[in-house]
Amino acid sequence: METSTKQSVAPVATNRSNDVRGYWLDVAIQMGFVWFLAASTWYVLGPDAQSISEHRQRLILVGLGYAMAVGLWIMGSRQSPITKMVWLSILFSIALLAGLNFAWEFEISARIMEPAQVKQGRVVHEGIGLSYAMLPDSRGDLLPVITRSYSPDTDKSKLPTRLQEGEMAILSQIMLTPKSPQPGRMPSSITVKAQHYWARNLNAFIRDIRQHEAKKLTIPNSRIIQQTHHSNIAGIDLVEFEYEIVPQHFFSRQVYLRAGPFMLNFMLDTVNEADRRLFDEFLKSIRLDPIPSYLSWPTNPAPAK
Amino acid sequence: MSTTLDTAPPRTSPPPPSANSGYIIGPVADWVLIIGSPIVALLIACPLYILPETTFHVSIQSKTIDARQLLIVSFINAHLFLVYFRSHANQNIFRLYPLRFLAVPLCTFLLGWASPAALGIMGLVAVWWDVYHSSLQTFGFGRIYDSKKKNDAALGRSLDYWMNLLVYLGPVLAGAHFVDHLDQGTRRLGFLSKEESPWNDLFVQQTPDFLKTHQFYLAAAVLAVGVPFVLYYLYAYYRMSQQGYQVSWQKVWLLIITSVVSIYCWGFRSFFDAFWVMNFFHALQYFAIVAFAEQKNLKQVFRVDQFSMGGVLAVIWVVSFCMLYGFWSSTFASQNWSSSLVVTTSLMHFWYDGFIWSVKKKQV
Repeated sequence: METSTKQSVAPVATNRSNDVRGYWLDVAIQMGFVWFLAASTWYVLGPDAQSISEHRQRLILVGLGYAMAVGLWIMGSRQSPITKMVWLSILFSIALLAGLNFAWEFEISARIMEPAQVKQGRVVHEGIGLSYAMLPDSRGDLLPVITRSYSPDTDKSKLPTRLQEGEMAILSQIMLTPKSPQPGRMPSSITVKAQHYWARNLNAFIRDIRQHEAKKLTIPNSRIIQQTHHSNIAGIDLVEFEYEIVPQHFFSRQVYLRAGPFMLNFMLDTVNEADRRLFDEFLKSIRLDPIPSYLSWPTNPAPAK
Repeated sequence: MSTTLDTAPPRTSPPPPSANSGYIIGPVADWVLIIGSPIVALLIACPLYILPETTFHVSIQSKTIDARQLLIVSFINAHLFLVYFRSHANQNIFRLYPLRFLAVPLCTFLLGWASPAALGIMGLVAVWWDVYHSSLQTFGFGRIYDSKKKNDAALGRSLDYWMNLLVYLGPVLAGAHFVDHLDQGTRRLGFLSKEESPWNDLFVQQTPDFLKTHQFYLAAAVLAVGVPFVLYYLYAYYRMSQQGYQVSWQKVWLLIITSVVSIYCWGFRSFFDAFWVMNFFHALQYFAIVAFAEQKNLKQVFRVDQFSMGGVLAVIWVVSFCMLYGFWSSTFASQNWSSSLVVTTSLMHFWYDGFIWSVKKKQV
């Protein structure tokens, strides 16, 4: 009788202890949910992060909330330890990849706004792996400027910290010095613009550029010399068209290429027929390396700031 | 806290509404969240569209976004994601179709991620399946209301099926915004270059153009079929009621309200108004039924079944997490993998809803 009483009491005590432990575990999980949701909401709806380090801090806050909520939830579930470890590995790997991706997207948008440098006769945009030749007898303005902004709070007086969705930036402008300057005649120029862009594939990209071409046709006295087409120069897929504004004999060759999450637009403008050949040489000089990623192997990028 | 544990009253599931009442959740909840939800959506949407557009411009991640658009797209995606709480988190349902719940979404996701063409086709399918699926949701509610009146699950099933298709598809096909729907579909096929193949041209250009130019005949056909069908529908139910069928007034009002709002929105409001209202009430109904039917399960999933306000907390969590997904998918999901994830979730929602709420199998 005594034995049977002991046997029945022990499991009750254990169950109660487990219940209390389970209760506090559930409370901790709820706190993890609150943390994760609050941090995510702040990340998405809060004011834009002003620096790469601030952005990383926010991501870490989201990650900690996620780790607390998901980690405790799995640890408290009724699964075998091996199953728990598998789930933890999968869910933390996904979170890590997503976090790195968010960080990369933010940081690459900052790095594209870093001023280009001239190295060994080439203009180099290190942040996006782009370089091209600095043509002879030319001068360049390599300070990036945002020309079209949808951000109501953009401060035009300071160098923008990053290029955001919907904005367009001039990354560089190269002016060719004319051999025989004529008053009132514009020098030939090459302007490099960038904006966030994503296309499913080359066909979708070509279709989008056709819309740019159609817009140029609305300029008075303009005519298309070369319709939108795909070309491959120096191993890079380019999509381009060319138009002319007739009375001034102003030629503009518009060349587009995709670089990571951006679309780059090279505007090659001239009123000098002879300079059009120079543009061919210029385009052959473009080099585009894959944009370094946190996930690329074996090199990882150094943070910009 | 241990006191709470010791003295907590034994937990019981909320008493179901009286079987004779004919309601699913209860009179107030049914009228606000299910039967009258189209009117609720209309009442919310109207003020939104009276005020100037700039009132709703908000800056998120330094992008200026129309808050109305953001809200509805997030809410739509949130309700699409909600299906997983029924299909995957409810073990009784999950065990029935493990292959459909694991292998199919995984393969669909990988296919969409790997192939832009497949992703485009999946997106196109999702646009039109969405319309079909929405009509079937109202159909499903109607069948549940019928079963609450102890009517035979098969009685009038085909009639209701066609009636609900007519209520949804009719105004879309005959309405002023059919062209917008077509354009939405054509944009999904943007990856096809029509110069490359006659098939691409057929999909991207010829078929939409043909339908656009012949919409008058389409509208006439909808009316020619629709009006006699509605008369026949009423007559058939009148005959059935004389043979013992118990009329569910909840179903009758659900159909009347849904039809009137659908015709009003697609026929007389802008495309965006109609899109907003129809999708809002559809998602609201879905949240209501999942929160009710899965109450016990949600409490377990979110580990709140020990708390006195566990039911409320579970609803808060499920809405919050679904809205978080909805917000992410409508704002950030622009890459191949994320687009594929969003489209896969849409397709799985439309598909799963066809077999995880079976009235015949008494799953509801």
